[in-house]
Amino acid sequence: MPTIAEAAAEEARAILHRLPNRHSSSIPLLYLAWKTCAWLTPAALEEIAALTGLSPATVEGIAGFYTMFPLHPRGKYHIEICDNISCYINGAPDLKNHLRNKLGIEFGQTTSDGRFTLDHVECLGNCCEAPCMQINGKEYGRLTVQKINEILDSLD
Amino acid sequence: MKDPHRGTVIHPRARPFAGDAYAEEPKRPESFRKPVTATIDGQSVTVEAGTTILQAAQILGIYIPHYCYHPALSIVASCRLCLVEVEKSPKLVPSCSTPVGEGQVIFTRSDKAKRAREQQMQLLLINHPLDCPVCDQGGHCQLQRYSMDYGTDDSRYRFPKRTFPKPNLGPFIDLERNRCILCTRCVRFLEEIAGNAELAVMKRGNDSLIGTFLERPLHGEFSGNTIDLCPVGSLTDKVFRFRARIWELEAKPSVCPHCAVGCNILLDSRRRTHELLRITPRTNPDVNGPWICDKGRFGFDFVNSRLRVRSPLVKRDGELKPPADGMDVIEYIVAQWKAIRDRHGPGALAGLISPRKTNESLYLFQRFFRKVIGSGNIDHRMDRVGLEDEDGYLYSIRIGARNDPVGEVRKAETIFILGSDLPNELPILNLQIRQRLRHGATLLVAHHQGGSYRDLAARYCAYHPGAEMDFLAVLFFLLVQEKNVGFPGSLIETYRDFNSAAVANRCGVAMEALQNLARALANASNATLLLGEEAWAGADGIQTVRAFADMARAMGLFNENDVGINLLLRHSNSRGAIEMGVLPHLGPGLSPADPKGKNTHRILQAAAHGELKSLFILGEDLIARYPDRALAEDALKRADFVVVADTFVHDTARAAHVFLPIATFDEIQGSYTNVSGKIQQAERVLVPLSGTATPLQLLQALARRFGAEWDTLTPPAVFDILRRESHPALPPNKMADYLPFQIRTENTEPVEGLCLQRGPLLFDRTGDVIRTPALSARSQPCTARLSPEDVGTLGLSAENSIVVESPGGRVTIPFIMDKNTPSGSVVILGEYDDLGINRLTSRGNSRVRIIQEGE
Amino acid sequence: MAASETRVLLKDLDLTGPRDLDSYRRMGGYQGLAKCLRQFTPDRVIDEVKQSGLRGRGGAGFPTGVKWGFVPKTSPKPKYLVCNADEGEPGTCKDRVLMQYNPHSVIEGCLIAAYAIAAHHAFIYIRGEFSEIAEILERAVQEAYRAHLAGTNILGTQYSCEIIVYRGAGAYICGEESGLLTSLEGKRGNPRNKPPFPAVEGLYRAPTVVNNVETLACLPSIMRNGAAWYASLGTEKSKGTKLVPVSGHVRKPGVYEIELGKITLREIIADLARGVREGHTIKAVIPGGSSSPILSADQLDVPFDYESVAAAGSMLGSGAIVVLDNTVDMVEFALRLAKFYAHESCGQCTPCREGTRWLVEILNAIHEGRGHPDDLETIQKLFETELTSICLLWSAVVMPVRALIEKFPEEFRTAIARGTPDFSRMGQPGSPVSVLAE
Ligand SMILES: Cc1cc2nc3c(=O)[nH]c(=O)nc-3n(C[C@H](O)[C@H](O)[C@H](O)COP(=O)(O)O)c2cc1C
Ligand code: SF4
Ligand code: FES
Repeated sequence: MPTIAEAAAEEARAILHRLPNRHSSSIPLLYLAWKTCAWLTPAALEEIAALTGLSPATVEGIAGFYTMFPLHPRGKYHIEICDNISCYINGAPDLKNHLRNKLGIEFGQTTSDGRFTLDHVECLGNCCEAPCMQINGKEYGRLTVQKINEILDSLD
Repeated sequence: MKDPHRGTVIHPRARPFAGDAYAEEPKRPESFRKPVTATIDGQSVTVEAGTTILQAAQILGIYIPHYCYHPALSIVASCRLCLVEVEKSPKLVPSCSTPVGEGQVIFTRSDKAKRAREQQMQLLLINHPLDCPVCDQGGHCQLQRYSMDYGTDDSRYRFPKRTFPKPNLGPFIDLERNRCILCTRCVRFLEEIAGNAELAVMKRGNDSLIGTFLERPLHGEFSGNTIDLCPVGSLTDKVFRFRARIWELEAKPSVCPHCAVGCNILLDSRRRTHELLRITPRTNPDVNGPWICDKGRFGFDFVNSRLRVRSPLVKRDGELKPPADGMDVIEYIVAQWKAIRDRHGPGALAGLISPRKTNESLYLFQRFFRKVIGSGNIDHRMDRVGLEDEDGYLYSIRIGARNDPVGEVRKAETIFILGSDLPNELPILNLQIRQRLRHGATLLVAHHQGGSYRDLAARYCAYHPGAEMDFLAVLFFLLVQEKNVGFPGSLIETYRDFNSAAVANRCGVAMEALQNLARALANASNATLLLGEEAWAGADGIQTVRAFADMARAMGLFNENDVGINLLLRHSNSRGAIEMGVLPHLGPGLSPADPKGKNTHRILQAAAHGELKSLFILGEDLIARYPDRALAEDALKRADFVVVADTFVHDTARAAHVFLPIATFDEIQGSYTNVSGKIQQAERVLVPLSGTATPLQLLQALARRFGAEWDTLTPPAVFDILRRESHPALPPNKMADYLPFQIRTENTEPVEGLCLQRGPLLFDRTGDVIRTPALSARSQPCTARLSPEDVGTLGLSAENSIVVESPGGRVTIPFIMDKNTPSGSVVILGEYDDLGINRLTSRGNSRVRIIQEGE
Repeated sequence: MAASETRVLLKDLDLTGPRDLDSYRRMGGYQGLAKCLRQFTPDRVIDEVKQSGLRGRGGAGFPTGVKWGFVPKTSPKPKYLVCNADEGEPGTCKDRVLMQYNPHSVIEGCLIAAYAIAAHHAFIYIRGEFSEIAEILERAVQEAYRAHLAGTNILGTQYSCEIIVYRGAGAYICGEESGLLTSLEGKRGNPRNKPPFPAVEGLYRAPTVVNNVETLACLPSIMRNGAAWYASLGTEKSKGTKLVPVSGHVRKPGVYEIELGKITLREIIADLARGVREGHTIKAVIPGGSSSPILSADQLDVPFDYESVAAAGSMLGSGAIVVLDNTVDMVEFALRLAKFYAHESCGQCTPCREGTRWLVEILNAIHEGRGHPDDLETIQKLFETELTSICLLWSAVVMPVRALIEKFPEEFRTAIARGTPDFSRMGQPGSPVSVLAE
């Protein structure tokens, strides 16, 4: 597993340089660690602590506050289906069931082949496209069962 | 000597609730700029602008309940218990964070405020396990108290309670998260005061919980304070847990025996079982504030140890055994000593006493040797080898050094520390420094290896071991230039042919770093200078002090009364031992000793050569402590008659002919003088364990048997005498000019092997620690630190331990690669009585060889 | 005649991709900024904005110019401008349209505001989930830097300002301005007690103005066309235009721009969003994002402006309209809302941390048929703590749930009395859910 210092020293320096306060770099550095290490490994958290001057516990507390940060490894595709009001009343519960059945996992789990991690999320800010979801940050809206099937099938 | 009763008010008192333990008195306005006046519950109060409603109410004696607020911590106002009603304000306001506004009309007990409080209490209790019967906080729990005072008895909650996993935070602290109310006092304390944010709030919302990084045990030095801060039973004392209920305890004021700051503490004991059960801090704003370190808090169980000796032991057939029936041990000792004195003169007897004993014991000890035996061979300095009687500390007293580090640090804006790893030596002083830094002070540090302040200090210089003097010489040179004060005439000789670059190079510090440090010192306002024992007790100690004093002078830190340098001491009564005159050449109050005698090193040499026949060692494991272990062993082996008085049988005790068990610190009434010269009284909490005696009793019994006309002296009576006798009669500041000092010029030849550096470590393993289970569990394993280069050159692999070897012996320990350790050095911190590290430094050795274990 | 949109912010916007710098400038972009920097003192800019009557579009509707006026002029500390692009209020998806399709309008707005309060750092705090949009913004910021519209000596003047796009990472509470600032400081996004307000003590304890994306995006045209022009739009107290995202059970969900007060809620739903699905009726409407109290079907003839919606017992909030048709079970809906807020509570203060979970427990019990006759009273008592929390998140759940219970009490009572959940009305034919049945 590469460390931030090995893989992205330049980027880390740029982040630290750009923000007026060293502590402010924690969230951008968590993103960077996520990118370089695939998830927020304990070593990455400690490294961020050293870079920002925060304690490892504080960094863990920060990472745990923000739901997007992966404190555990995730599958290759992270499916996040929105479950908030606009999506909910437009059929999100059934789409959620469909995803569960199709992938054979519960929410919060990863398929045994490591391809999919399934999560439901609160409002994605895409309510006019409800019901919607994101896969690895890419947005999909106006979902139906069919559309979900097509999307999943199109992933390699 | 200062009046001991002036500094600390010592009286047992009702235990305050943690939340109220430390309140900086809110200021009533007298002359300050902006007073505001408001009405609280019908009473008018005028306070300084910025004072919060909660503090203003406190002045009026109105108590507003609160959990998250603590006067020493930042304000988060998250528990919402302190809500009060302010006229014209639509919402209730948190009184802990809201400043009093001019003309405000505030109600702390209106229906609305009361109702809000009830509601918050109810909400805090819905998820609380209500397991008071098995909770250690029972009886002094703010949740219990507030439930009684402000709660309601109707709980409408009918769902399962939230539960959290229970982590293991190490030997000191038990965390029961289900009881936590998330006031975050512990988190804030560790982050803001202790400076090591080991606890943080993890997760979010209703799942929020207090935790450490990956649930690892706590490692800081001050974690115990979170127990006092926790208003509920979430963080409790693991050492005290389940041993007693709080109301069974009797609390008495005492002074911590572990370091020279002398934190004020309360000792909780249970007389029925003759047990010391808990130590908590006793707030003293001048010394420790409301805090103590973990060593002080948890380092007491040795007094309850079953291994404590309960009767005198006499050597028979090479073994220490209880005396034969009818044998009077005191009589026996006195007879032996008399015989030796008659045959070889009083100079054949010597006494060494630990600088952790009370002033009263120290005073009587020297008096016993000088006046009763007639020998001047006494000393208290048993952890360093000094050939000369005079050392840097004594010299500093002669030149009128201020020597008030505790007081100085509290107000300094620039703090310069030379030659001390403070966090490991005087932890509470370190805490105070951190607090100063939070208030914008600047820290400058020079030390001989990777000390603890590397991250914190604005400037950090690491010089080669033993190169303090070189370092200071260059620093002073640069400082004089920076300050533009003109080069002192008295130093022209010293600096003839001085090549600053060469000397800087010799001590291993880049000229630029020195220049920056000199500049920072030159521009410092309100500076304080601290000199650690590593610097003043070294071979160049006195020269170092002279140079240090010159620096203070160049910085303007001197006046007719004193010179603004502060030397640090390590032991709880090091300063007392000096002022009581437990020194070969100085008597009480630094008067010339009568008779004069030998210092520790000379005593041991003389004993090893058979010239000195008897040794009396009180309260110290000399063999484990003395750097020249071989010499100490030889001396004790060769001496005809060795008496050791201490709590446990240790290596030194085993070498004794007679062993006298003595009482522990909690069983002794007496006074201690801290590093700043503050005399603090400790009360006796328990009577001495049966079969043991206090040093005072022992010394008096010996003296009487010698035929000395000593009245039976109680500690207060001794205190009266010593107060009269031992106040150092200091000359007015004699530092009329810069003090010339010497700079050694010889270039050290490259020597074989690596240079061994020792230093203090807070959680090491001395005899008392080994017999204190909690401390023992917390103690850090003994390791050797090596530079990455040396690890490479030696081809060491991290999996295996290494053997560190010198002509004096060898120890096998793990090593860690440490980039702050200079190559060519091995750093072993701490005392490990079970390993006998001091074997390596026998015969003045400082060079070691390292091989991988198994080779 | 069917009511229609009034487009200012969305004017001529091609909703296929971001408008680049050149085309933005061709349409008059950065003229407002140039005018400010070259002709106006910062105080004059503040005055203009005061006169325009612009009110914050982030939810509270506070007059923008007045807020700027709170920044202490004499403070020696640096000042900061923060653009609140955390758009997280359920139902709300308006700011994203601006950032996605017209990022330079946001950037120009930031610079105008920063200039007005003498800030030299402008942060755009964008919610983490908007990763694609953050990239668009970041690219636009780079464009601006290259064209000397950001950084040092903007447009050749003495004024300099750095623009930093800062991504959140999944926390609704970071939309609350003080939570946003703590997050921007790199910490857990815990809101802070107010006072002090950010304008006095904000980011790094220095004076800080936090404005919503839409608020800031209004500034270029106000500066270009003058305060009077802007003030001529809308009503006496609600000036200008407003973006309204309409979602839920409507045939044409989308983000519309309307002139405040000149169109009613019913018109927006019927004429712009084309009403509810065939065979269904409107049951209730959320007029201003999930935190605003719900309005029942008979309350929809209210003109869409701050005062009128407030008079109807709700609030304009973020302007996000969520339409609920007759298939929605209000108990279930309340539960869904409560779960959201419980999930998003930062957890620091007692009423919200404990209250949100308790509320979920009760609503869940009622929904699952384990209701208790006392439950509604318990909720009511719990809601008495509404104003005792640090920030308004706790209120943000109390308000809509209270409204749901008040407006549809019989649904809650029947659910409690029934003891078992009734799913019969969810997933009827015609709803997207029914597609699943096959
Ligand atoms: C719980 C909560 C969530 C909020 N979320 C947002 C948000 O996502 N976006 C936003 O612009 N304002 C949000 N606000 C409002 C902000 O606190 C703040 O009032 C606003 O950003 C000010 O900008 P304005 O004056 O331009 O409206 C939220 C407020 C609360 C209490
Ligand atoms: S009301 Fe909720 S979100 Fe706001 S500070 Fe309190 S716990 Fe956090
Ligand atoms: S003491 Fe004021 S909110 Fe906790």
